[in-house]
Amino acid sequence: MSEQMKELTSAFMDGELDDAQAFLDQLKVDDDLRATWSRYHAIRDSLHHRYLPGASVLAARVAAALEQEPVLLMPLNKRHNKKPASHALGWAAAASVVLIMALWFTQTISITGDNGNIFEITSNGQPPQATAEVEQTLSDYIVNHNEYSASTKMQGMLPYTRLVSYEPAQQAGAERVE
Amino acid sequence: MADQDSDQALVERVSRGDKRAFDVLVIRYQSRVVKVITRYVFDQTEALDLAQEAFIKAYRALPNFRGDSAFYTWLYRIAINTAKNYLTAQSCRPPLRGVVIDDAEFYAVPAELKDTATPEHNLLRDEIQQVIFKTIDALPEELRTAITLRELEDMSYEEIAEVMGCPIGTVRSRIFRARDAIDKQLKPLLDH
Repeated sequence: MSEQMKELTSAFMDGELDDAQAFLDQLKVDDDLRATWSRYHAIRDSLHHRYLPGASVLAARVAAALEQEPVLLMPLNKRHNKKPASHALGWAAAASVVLIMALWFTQTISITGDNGNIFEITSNGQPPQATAEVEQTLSDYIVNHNEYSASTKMQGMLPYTRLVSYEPAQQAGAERVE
Repeated sequence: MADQDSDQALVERVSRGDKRAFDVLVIRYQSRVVKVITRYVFDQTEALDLAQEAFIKAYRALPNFRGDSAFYTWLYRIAINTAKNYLTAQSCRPPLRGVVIDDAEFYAVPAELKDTATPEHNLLRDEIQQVIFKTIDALPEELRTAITLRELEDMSYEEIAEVMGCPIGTVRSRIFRARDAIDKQLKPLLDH
């Protein structure tokens, strides 16, 4: 075996061989090269105090057992091959979405009613401010809607209480404003 | 870690139908897998059987290997599960001192295995270790530094090149020459 092939073996076991395909083709058919690969790993394992002479029989045993196994011809999941740039793009897209959503929620959203009144909705914790005219419109809507809402089919006082208590509360608010 | 790159190349080979590429992975990890299993099973014969079973399971499960973790981490998990399942089947409780995957690589040969390994194997292991350290001590300084930084400090060629102030190609050559020098001394012991 050439010195060059042994040097490639050394570089490959360190993960420092850029184009390994030609080397792996040779490793597949060259028993001497595989023996070198084995001894180089014995050196590494010994330096890390983990070399087990008895374990060296495993490769042959596993190879014999694999004779009975089907050949794998399945594409691997390629998640590990993602380039760092694609990760960065993914994070940038996610950050953009979060930013847009944050801006959307913090800005004031205006809803124009049927009669041209504007309800201002904010997400900064402030309750919406409505005029007396708007309150009256809203009250009428609730009364009308209550007739058809599912809650009217409920037994007991709850639907009635909710409807009736709205207007006194509104009136009390109106008195405070005055 | 640089090993991952060569592991990945081998895994891709296996997935394209190259069974012999899996043998190369077995050679790389056989000692480590047996070592992890002996944290659970102290008999060396049983440990070897379970290691073989773990490798076969890994081969069968390889299409499901997503590459989220390093290949050896994935393999260790299979090995540990194989050992635990074996103990469960034997109605034995796994030892309390389990193996943390991340630490598994850093355990030295466990005392239990030293006790159960044959005297010949123990002697051979000690002799191999002596030859390796003796050869490294006798290497020219630039070779000794290069192989030490690579194997014991786990530095990449680029990092070693920076430390030693030389091109990466020179680092690659020095590491190879150091390995080759050790290999020449070791070969008679391993081939006998």
